[in-house]
Amino acid sequence: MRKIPLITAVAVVVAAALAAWLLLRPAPGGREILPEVLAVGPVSASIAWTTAEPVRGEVVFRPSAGGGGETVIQEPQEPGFRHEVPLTGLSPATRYAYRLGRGKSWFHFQTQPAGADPFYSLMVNSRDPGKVTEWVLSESPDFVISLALPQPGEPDPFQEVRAFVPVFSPFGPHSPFLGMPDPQAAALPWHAVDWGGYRLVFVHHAAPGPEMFNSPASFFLVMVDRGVIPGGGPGSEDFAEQVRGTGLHESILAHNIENPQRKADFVVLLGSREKTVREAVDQVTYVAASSMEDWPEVLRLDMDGALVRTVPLDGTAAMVLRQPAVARKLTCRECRQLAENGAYEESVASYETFVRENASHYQVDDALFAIAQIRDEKLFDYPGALTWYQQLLDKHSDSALAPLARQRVRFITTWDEADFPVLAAFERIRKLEYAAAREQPQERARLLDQVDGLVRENARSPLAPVMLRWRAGQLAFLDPEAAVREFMRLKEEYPGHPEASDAWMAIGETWYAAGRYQEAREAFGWAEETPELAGAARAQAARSLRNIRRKNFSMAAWAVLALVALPGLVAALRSPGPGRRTGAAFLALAVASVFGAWLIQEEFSSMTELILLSVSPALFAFLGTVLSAPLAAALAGRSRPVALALAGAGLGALFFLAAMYLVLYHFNMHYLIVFGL
Amino acid sequence: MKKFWILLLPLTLLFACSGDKGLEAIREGASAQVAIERLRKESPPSWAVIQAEYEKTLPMVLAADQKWGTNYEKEIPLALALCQEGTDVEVNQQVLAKGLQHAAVLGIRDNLAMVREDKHAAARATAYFEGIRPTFVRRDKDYFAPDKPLEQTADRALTALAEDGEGIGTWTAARELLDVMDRTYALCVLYELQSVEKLRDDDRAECAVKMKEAEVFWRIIAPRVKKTSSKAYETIAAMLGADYGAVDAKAAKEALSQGLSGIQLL
Repeated sequence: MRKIPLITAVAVVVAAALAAWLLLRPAPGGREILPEVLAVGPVSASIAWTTAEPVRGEVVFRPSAGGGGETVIQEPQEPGFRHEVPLTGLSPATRYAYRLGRGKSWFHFQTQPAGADPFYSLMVNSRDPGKVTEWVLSESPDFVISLALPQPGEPDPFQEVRAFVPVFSPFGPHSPFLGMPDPQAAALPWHAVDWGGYRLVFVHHAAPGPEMFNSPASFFLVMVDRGVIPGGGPGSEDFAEQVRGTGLHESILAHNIENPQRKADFVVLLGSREKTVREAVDQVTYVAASSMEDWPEVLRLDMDGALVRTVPLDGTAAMVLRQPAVARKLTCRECRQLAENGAYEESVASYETFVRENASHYQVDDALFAIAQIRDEKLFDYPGALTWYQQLLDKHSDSALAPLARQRVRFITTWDEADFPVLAAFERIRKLEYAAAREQPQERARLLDQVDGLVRENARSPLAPVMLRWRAGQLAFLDPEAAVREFMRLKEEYPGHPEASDAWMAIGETWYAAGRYQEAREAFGWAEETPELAGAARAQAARSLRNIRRKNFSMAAWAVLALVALPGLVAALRSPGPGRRTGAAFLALAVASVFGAWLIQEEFSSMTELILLSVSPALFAFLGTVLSAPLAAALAGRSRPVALALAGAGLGALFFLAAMYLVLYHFNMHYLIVFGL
Repeated sequence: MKKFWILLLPLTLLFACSGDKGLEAIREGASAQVAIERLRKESPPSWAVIQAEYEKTLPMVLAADQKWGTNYEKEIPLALALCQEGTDVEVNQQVLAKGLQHAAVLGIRDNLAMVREDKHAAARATAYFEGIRPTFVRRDKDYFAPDKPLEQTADRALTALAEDGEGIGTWTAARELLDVMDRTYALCVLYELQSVEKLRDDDRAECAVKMKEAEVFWRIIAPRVKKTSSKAYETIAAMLGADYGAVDAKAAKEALSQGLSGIQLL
């Protein structure tokens, strides 16, 4: 009979868990409806979707990132299967979150900027849904242009992302709601996308008329398929003649004469060349680029006023497609801007022009240093960098940049010329590729393997220990044991090398960061043998020891809890412990503690911490009492009141202290430091 | 009743034993970060205690340095050492306080990037957020009182992240959190520059502190601004690198608005 309440309690808990699972599990067949962001303007947008049942479409939206309430818009027409809800009264260049009616999921989109404010889009040349989603989410572009057309039977790679960005193709909207683009059925030989003061025109075939420029846009970017302009493309002998004979060029010139402030002066010829080549014909710049099929899987297209650049997301160098017109003499600042936009080759060329034309300019030393530095740190052209650093040192030895140049010359000349290719390969991985792969652990592992290959292939090069040290340092965050192996390898294979001199210290730090304090302490102990590291190693060893002690204390605390709780539990089941009033007293104590803590709430970092730290003492005092009283009675016997009281108080205090230590150890170690533990 | 309490014990122990160890370290770091904010404002601050608290934030700092190429593992101890010896204490402690905020923001960004693949990512982002919450509270008070759009939006996004798990709605929640963080730190940069404008004729020492604060806050949002508009990036970077006389809060506001496309700053 005594077990009935216990069985009832267990049954209640099980029933509650089952009910919670039934209520919270996803509804069977409740697949989410994914809307499409169809048309987005500076102050309006339209959301479309289809339903299996006829309903009246409704969209709830609000500005994202705070700053406004929710607005509900219902579609004006009667219930149906196809829904398109226009949202109006929006602000330019603002992100909005929206959901369909009472749908659970919120989606978002961003309105076009007003005027010619900066924005960027993605040009995607892939049919892999996973990759497409990852790119769109990580970059959050204003819109997407899909160069890869849909293939029958393949999954739609844009199915999910259409709820967040409008998707276009060179032949029209890339939308299942409106009908997917069909190059054969395209009514016009061109298609335009208007966005933020820009018009992107895709020209496919034949001779488009000047109507393709019928737009209030301030800037035009024309992308033309190979074949529209015959001949060899920009840079070939007869290119100007070939261009002048096309309807495209005539249309461009006609537009430019009528609109001198809004000229279409920039055309990308797709499929003309593997390498970028530019040629100006009648003040229209034609740039050759590879064909759409050969384009990278994804490119970011940045538009910032007259500046247009492409940025491959694989970390390779960006390319400036279109530069703002240089109305006056080139300055160092403009050259620097090119470098900041990732156009290193162009920046070096501009700096070199600047140096040639401004030999006595006060910024020439800046320019010389910049050329050398870009060659050194961005293009990894060490012989070139040395030449330019040397020019700076020879001609401007009193420049403020001369010491830096000397430092770099010293660094580069540390290596033989034969080492330069290895150095370039290593620096490219270290500075560019590894940093670009920060979200891709597999890619990072591959790059680390590449560095290992470099080390093994060039084991006798002075670069080998440098590369090995870097590799070990990176592994420390990914695989501590592998990192330690590499640090040991460094010590054994390159003893006496400066890179190996603090290997024990590095091993200690690796173990410490991995929470393996015993190994860390031992490694710091070995590091103490190196006189210049002794002080730091001793301090780190002491830190490790403190952590070991805390860990041991926590183990001991668990043991105490187990030793009091388990027999206490058995004893409590056999004989009655403190009564209901005791529970009520501790409950009152807990409430008072919470209230007291609330009065000084700014002392706690969160509400969870406040509740945890204020309730724990009362809770553990209560549990200690509940468990220790019957246990003490079993141990000391009820006939010896003094022994009973001492045993009860002792066991209760022991339980309380152990439990409180564990709470502090696991939830807020700050207080352990305060108590000198 | 007694048996109910006895039943509660193993459940409590089970609860105490369970959980993500990484999450606990983040919570500890966030809690230490808040403690550092409080401790450094004491008069005089106990730099030894602050040092002990800083050590708890090390995993966060190291992770940021490793993944994002920041250098706080060296910058912060140096700043702490300078504070301990009394050199430019007001300026140097900004490196500690704001540097930790930067590391926390990077931690949140990392976790938001994997929120659909890793079920603990939302909890980790929330734990990191506790370390930077006071900044949201301050900027709400400075610019929007009695409303609290920054803190409320962040809380709404964190709740949505926790509730939606692997659903598609997490994308919007993650984006909203990223946006509101950038908005808050852009307002921090603006606030410090506005302060420099007010103080530059009377209190140049305080201006140095404000500029240092603006500089570290700027690091948090600079990549996004640079990606969107190199002109906006250069405007702010030049302002922060020049003399106090070159600070123009109005131009800074315009540049920040332009560089943070999608966000309404004020």
